[in-house]
Amino acid sequence: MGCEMESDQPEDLDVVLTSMWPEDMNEAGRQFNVERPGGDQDMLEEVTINKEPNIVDFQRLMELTNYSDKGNWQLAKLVKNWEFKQANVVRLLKEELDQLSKQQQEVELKKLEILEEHRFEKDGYGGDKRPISILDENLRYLYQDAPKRRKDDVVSQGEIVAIDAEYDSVVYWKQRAMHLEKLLEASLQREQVLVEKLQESIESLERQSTPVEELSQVLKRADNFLHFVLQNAPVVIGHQDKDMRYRFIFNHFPTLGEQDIIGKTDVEIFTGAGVKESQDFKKEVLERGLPAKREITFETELFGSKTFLIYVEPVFSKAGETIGVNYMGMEVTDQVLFHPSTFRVITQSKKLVASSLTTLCCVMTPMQVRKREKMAKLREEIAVQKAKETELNKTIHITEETMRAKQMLATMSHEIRSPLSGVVSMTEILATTNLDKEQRQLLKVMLSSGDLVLQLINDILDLSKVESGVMKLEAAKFRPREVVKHVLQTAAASLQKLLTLEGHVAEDVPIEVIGDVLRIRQILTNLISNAIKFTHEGKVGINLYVVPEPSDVNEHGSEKKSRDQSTLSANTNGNGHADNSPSCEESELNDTSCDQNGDQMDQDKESRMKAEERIVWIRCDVYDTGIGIPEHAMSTLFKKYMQVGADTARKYGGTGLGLAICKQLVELMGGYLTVSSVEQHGSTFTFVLPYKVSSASDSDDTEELSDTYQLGDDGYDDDLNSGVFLFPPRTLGTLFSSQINGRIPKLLPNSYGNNCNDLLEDSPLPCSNKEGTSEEGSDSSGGAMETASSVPDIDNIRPVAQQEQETASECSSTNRTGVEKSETKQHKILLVEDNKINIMVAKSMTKQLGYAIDVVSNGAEAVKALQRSSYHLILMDVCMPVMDGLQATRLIRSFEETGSWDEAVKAGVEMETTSHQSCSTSQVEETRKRVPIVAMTANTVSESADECYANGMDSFVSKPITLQSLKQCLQRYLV
Amino acid sequence: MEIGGEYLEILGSSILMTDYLEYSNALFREGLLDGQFIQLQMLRDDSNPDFVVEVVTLFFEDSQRILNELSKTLDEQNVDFKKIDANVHQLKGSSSSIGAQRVRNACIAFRSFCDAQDVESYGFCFFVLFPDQMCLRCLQQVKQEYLLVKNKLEALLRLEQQIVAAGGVVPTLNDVS
Repeated sequence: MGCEMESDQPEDLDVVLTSMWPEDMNEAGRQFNVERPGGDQDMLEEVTINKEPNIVDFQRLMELTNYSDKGNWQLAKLVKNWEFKQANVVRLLKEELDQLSKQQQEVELKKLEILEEHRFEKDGYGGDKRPISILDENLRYLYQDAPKRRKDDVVSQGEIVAIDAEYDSVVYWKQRAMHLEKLLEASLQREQVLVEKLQESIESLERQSTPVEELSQVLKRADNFLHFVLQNAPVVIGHQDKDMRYRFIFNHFPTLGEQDIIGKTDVEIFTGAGVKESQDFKKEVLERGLPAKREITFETELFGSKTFLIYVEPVFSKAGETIGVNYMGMEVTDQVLFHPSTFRVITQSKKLVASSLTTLCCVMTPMQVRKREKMAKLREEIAVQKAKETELNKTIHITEETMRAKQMLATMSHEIRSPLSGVVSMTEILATTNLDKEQRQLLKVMLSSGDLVLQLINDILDLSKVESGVMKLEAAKFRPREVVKHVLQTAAASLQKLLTLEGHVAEDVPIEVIGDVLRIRQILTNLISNAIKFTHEGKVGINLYVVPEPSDVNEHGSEKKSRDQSTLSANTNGNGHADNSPSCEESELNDTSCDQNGDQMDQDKESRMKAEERIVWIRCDVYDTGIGIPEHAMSTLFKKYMQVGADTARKYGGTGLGLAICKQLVELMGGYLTVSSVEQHGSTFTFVLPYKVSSASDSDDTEELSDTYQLGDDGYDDDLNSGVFLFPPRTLGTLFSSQINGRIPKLLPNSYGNNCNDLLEDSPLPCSNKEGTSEEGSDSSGGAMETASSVPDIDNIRPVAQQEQETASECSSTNRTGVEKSETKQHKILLVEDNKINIMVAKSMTKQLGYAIDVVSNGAEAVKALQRSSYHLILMDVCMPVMDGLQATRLIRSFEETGSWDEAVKAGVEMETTSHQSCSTSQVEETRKRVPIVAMTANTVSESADECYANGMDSFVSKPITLQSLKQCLQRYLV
Repeated sequence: MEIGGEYLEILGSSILMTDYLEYSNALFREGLLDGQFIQLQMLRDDSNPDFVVEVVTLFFEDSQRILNELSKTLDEQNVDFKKIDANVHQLKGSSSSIGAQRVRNACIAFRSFCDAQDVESYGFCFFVLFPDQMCLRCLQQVKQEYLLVKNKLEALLRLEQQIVAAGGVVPTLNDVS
């Protein structure tokens, strides 16, 4: 039994102990979230705590603990904790004491029992004695508060008294008494030991009763533990006072000594990007009194480029004033680059750090791990976003740069244009003076280069206008045939090659359409001059015909191929013709046009009656038999400044802007421009544009107009309708004749009384006039020669051959002038000019030439003058106050077409109604004929020949007018 | 004596004529005048011997008026660039008719600047910070050229009158160009 009891004892002890140590004992430890080290004690021993990184201004810590709420709270918590533990210890001790005294009582009782009943009770004594355990002295260590049990230290053992003597004998009793005495002694001894122990305990209790000592010990312990936790974390922890001076810093990678940091501010310690920001951030927190987080990237000499996530929280005094900040920074530089697994490790360590930091005397508010991970994810996204942004910014930057460059270019161009036009006009003037052959040659080069640069600049300006969306399109009535004719005329005038220029306008193309004639002319001119440039033999031509509305303008790409083939085949047909003599072709073309002329008109009228205002799509092919375009160059053809190749650029010159402008203009007008080409065989540029056809009310006008023509001048009507123009090569004379003949007949149809003059219609003649052709041919070519020298107005570049011819023509003209002079006296000329000096000079010049002139000073007056009487020629200044020459010309033309001055009245000209009515009947025949109007332009770009033509003028002389140019002009129109 | 006097007269007028030629040559060389001036001289005939003087005088009057107007317009609070443009256009026209090409060129420069004020016609930004200042400078240039050519022309015309007075014939400047 005794044995049993012995063996049972340890178990009992365990049971007792667990009951003795209250469950909440651990909670004291848990409060700091630190596990009870227990068996892990050696872990701590391994840790070599590096004191260095921890730089502390202890005085400040004292101040903090004394003056700040947080410090107080922290201390209070520690004290509370300590008190709790103390209470626990006391409780334990008390319990033990209770137990001891209980045991002692029992012992006393037993003793009495023994004494009383020693004879009868032998055993059982000590059997239910309880074991006693004494607390280990090591209690001081708070985190090791699991008490050490000292087994069998003081354990009363129930000894079985074995008495050998015979029961109830004297010896027996003696022995028994002795034995009991011994027991008592032992008991007493034990008691003493217990008392001593108690004493000792009490002493030790007293010894460790100073809380400060205890607290600092605890702090130290916590500190050490933190050090252990933080030893590898990329973390900086610090406290700064309200002047931002460091009072405490923990940094695992210190490169500075204590003296370098404590008492200094961030800015004083290190320099570089981010330092100021972090300090400002801390200050902000200090001022606002609210904790905050921010990511700051540092770029310092001290530790290079690193990104820190910084948490700063203000520290308040009891009075509520901020007295400093706690901050904690964690390096997060390369987080994004981490492999997920590394990242996990980092996250874990971060968790650890985070949790340990939460224990750090609440320097930081609890940071949730999840938040952190979210942050990381967010940061990753931000990084991607940032990369995108940078890319976008780059693109934007480039675009802006390009825009600026373009504007720059445009501005520059504009700046250059004025002085350059000065140079060019100077040169032009110089060219009119007496020069020897060599000088003339040099001048020609000057002129052509000057013109080229001017053209380039105009191109750039046009392009920038289109691109910036400033280009305004005008909607005005114009005659496609006239446009084609003028363009070909102009091209023919400057032609330096033996090329056939031809134009064909299909019958179904309306006589008048509405569109921006200037731009269309520009496109045509561009394409034609381009074609001529790249064509050395054969022909260049324009085909105009109506096409059905394209289903989708964008589709043209796919359609292109088939169309290419068709146009190409057409081209080759054309080439076949070109092989024939031009005359042959001419007659052939004539026939077709003659046949269809009449029908076409009717159809045209009918269709116009049907639709009030309809849109007609007209396709224009500009074809040539030139060098063609290699396939690889097709894609870049319409790009700016692009030419087919460096070779081409060198050989043919040019700006490379022309096609780009054409394309942009065509697209601006709602059409499309395509090209097809076979190398060495030719190219065809095609543009399809929508045009409005005059509405019903307008069509009355045009009908009337066409009636007028039919009444007054059949030839003119034919001119309107004939859709074929031919400028054959070889004789440059005919080239000019065709140019001029188009006009002369128009000017004075009645003076000759018949249409014979029309023979030299630029193109084939209508059937009715055909007979006249041959006889008048020579005559008209003579007339052409006279005027040939005026060609330079249109274009300054002339071939030498032409020049010679010119001189010859001058000779021939002298013969005629005598005759003319006598006739011309009757001619009435109207000069419309606002400049007194110009008037004086012009008057003097005409006087010398034998003409008298009427002078008015602006367009409105010119209109009025024309209402009063008729003139044979009007010399019209372009730029004038009140009403400019272009508008006046339009009004005059409108009158000629409609017979009424309504347009003029609408435009604000005060018409003399009475005289209008009185003379309207008598003068109608005379006034209705087309008065030749010659523009006087100042040779500036704004007063371009194109514009003059477009507004209904017949020709122009450049200002300042010279005797010679005026003479030629007058001779041309006042035959 | 009489013969001597006549001789001297002839000598005098021939000296004057050489002077005249040299002087006018210089004017052409310096670019003050161009071929248009010769055009004027060609228009002078017996029926109208004073044509050049008349035209040039008219030019002086007109130009002076325009320049005054320009100065006035530029003095105003809100400069009316259209008005300026119109005036400069006038001056350009008359100066080119006279053959005063440097005045004309100055006018061209002036106008190109006026053009630039018309921002709408060009989509790109063409801004000059102080347009009136620029105009003033342009005007200054035009005035300067005008005064220069005026002085020279007056001297030239005086020479012409002297030649005529001396009984000589004003030489034509055909060969000058």
